[in-house]
Amino acid sequence: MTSHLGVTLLLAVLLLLGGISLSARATTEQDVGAMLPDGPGSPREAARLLGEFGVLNTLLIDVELPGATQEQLAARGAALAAGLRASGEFLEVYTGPSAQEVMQVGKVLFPRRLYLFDDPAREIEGRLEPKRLQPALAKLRARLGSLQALVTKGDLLLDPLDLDADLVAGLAQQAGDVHASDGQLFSKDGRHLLLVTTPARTALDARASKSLLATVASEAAKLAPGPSGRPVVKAVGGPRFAAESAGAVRSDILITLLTSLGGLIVLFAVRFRSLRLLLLASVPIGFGMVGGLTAVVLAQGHIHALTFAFGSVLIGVGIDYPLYLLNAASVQAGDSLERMSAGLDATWRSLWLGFSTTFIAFLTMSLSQFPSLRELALFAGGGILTSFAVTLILLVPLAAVFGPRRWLGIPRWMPALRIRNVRPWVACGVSVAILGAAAFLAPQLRFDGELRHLDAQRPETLGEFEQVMDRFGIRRADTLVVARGHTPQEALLLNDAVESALRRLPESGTSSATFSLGALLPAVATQQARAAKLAALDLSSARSRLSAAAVEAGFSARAFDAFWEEVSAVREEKVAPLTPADFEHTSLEPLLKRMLSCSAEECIAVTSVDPRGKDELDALASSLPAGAVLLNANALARNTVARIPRQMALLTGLGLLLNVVLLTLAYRSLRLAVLACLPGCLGLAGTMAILSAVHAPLNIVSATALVLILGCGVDYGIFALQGLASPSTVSGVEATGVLLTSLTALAGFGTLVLASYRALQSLGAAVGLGIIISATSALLLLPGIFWVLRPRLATPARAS
Amino acid sequence: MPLVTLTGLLATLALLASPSAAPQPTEALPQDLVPLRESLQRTKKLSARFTQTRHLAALQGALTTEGTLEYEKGGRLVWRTLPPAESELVLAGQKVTISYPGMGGAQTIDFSSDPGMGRVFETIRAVLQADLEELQPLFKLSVTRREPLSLSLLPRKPELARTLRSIQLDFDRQLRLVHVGLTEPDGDSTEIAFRDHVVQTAAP
Repeated sequence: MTSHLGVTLLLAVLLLLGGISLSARATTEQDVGAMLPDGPGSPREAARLLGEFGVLNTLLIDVELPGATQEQLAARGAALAAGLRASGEFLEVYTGPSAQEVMQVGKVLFPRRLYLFDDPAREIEGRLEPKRLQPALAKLRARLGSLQALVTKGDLLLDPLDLDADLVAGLAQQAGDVHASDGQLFSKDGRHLLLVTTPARTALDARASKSLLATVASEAAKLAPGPSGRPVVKAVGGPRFAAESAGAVRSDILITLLTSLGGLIVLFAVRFRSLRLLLLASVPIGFGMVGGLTAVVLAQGHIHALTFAFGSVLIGVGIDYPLYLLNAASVQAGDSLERMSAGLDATWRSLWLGFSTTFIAFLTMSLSQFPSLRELALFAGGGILTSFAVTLILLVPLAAVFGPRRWLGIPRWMPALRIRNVRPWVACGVSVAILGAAAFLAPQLRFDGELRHLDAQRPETLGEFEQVMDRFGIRRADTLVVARGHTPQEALLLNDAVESALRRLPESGTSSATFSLGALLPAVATQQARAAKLAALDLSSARSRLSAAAVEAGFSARAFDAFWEEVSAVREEKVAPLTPADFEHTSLEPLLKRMLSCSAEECIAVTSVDPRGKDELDALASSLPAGAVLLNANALARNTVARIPRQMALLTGLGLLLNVVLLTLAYRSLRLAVLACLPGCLGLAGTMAILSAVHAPLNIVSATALVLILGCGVDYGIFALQGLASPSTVSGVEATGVLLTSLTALAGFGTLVLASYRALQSLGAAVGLGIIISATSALLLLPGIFWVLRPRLATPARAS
Repeated sequence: MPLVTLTGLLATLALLASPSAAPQPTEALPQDLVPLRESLQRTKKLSARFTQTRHLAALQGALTTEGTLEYEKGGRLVWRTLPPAESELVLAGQKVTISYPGMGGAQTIDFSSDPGMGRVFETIRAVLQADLEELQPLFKLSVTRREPLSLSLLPRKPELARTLRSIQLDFDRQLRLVHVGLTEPDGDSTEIAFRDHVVQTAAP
């Protein structure tokens, strides 16, 4: 016996170490988008792009200096920026374009400004209209009188039609309500200053994000006070959300661990009076975690952080098998080995059935088209399989050697559990009522696919974020239009068609704020087409009209010859069109790199749109040219992520069907199979009915919990049915098993409802409800229904 | 402020401030200019009205603007052009702010991030304040008239000569700047006449 145990333990430890070393090689994925299907135009790409254009890896810092002038505020902003740069924790601290940077961009854009107008000939004709031309010339004359005109004369005379001012205004409009001055960015009222920072580490690195926020706070504390008080510095964006979420999750995990542990200790103390058994019962869970991780690593080499976190919770259900076994063993006679062997004999069939039904539930989940669900199924399936195998192989010898020397006798309360207080017609009525309520309410259950609703954003943090975004008129990049091409120029050409389509929208009354690359960098083909349009301009007529107006305004007839030389040069394609290379080493280069990117397969150009509602979104979608794709965060949630809960519901239904088939084969009775599945069904139906009644939507996490409810509920049904069809010699032992496992599940999962992290909260609520309803159904309703639905020819012996 | 104005201004000024236009080793100040230097050194504050007349080939006639100049030694210099061509240029410490009140918008340029630009604006300030110490490295100074004093400034470097052909500074008998004449290489010129001086001097 001892040598057999030694070999078994040695093998188990070797396997465990092997699994751990293999798991250590796994890379952990943290991007939520990685949970979605991948490929060009896929939801994952959409989520990635929306994430890139959002504020995940950006920390916006809003500085206010009460009672100060803009100049004083700028000084504090510059000091804060210098401190943050010196900290080394930021990749970039952007304060605003310096005069030199503006000049550099001007040097690139202004010589080719005519390429930036959709129809330069029409633009020139329009500006030659007297009502526009006269004010433009008067303004120009006034500017020539300024001191600085001593050196700007040449540039001023190049722009008689005031093209540059409108071009600059158009570009500035795209930047929102941020006002650049003094190399800094100010709010419209000039009372707030904005620093746009990019952390050196990803915002998802919660520790780095926390340190980043501490640095901002410490540098802010060094700022000198203003006339009416201390500077007010607010940091908002991805790093703050990440740091706060991580803090909330840490505290959630601690609370859940402590409550679960406390619950388990109480349960084991009450039922077994032995903490040794608690330690032994935990062994299969530990193996299950390593087994699940090994399965995922062997299959794909990496694991998503959410899969690991959520899967570990799912594997927690693996303690049910040791509990059923120890509970059955405790009522047996003899020493530990004899008790465990007898307990294993008593529960062998139900354990296998319980494991098989749960495993089938995870198998059906692996049929999902969503990588996240497949990965979760692999992890949880591998984990459950391992913990079940360890329960059967290792727990008996371990308990025999390390188990209690004296086992607690049968508690007095155990036989009482067998008493059926609920009459059959009441049990049937309640069951029908639950199913009826579910049939009525479940169709109204909402599916929330918004991934951002899963985290632990505090309302105040979100409020501050919204406030800063509104104050500086920063657009939410919730909607993007992606134009694809084999080359950058192909993508830009399609992007120009997108811009043109979007520009037509305001004419139809559905105006959108847009930020398009086309405003800065049209495709070369577009620029050439625009130059060709200039051929339509009657140059001599236009020139003579301007000359006449110029003379009338006090200019000489040939004052604007340089302007017409520019027009002629563009017409004759003597001016090289703008290309991405022109913006290299300018302040616009980072923006361009984000909006125009190429992979080995293709290039994409992205336009950011801010539609005002669903109608406008639909109008946008219908107006886009072929090949351009509209990505909207809400639509992505609605159309893609929300499919996960729906798919989970379908897969759970399929799992239930397979469970019925398996149990029918095992029991050789459809009625018994249905009876075994009934608590799980009632748990599922009741949970959905209640969630619908209280208007709580199902999300990706709580929907996945449906599998768990089904798995646990069917297990309760199997063991409760065993107690009814082939009861143990000791009354209430099976019911006690159900009670123990449901209470441990509640201690483990139900307490998650106290979490501040909304993903955990929703999981706790759904699983808690499901466990309570299915366990209550198994203990109170199933006996009554059993006497109504039991097979007429079935005997206890047959069922066992 | 339109970008083009800023661009042109900065482009030219940056050119002026390029390393090749850096101050040259100073020559000894001509003896005739010593009284002027001493007078300027005593000036603590000055304000004056000006009339600027520009003769540009692009314009049919002269373009005349009126305004005021104020400066404080070691402090702000404010060049304010009155309507209809209203604008204001404020040079203070390490910053210049240019605004067009009638047209909206202002642009401040910080010299701390652009030291070259700072040198350029110091040159403008030097011309308006007739600051000989600053001007001498950039221009060849010659006295064209001793009483009342008149100076001619010729750029020492070709980069500067591309923007300015010559500068004429005329003073009254109290050694107050009363006229600045700027001639550009293309023949355009600017005459600035100062009057109504209010000078606050330090005790000798």
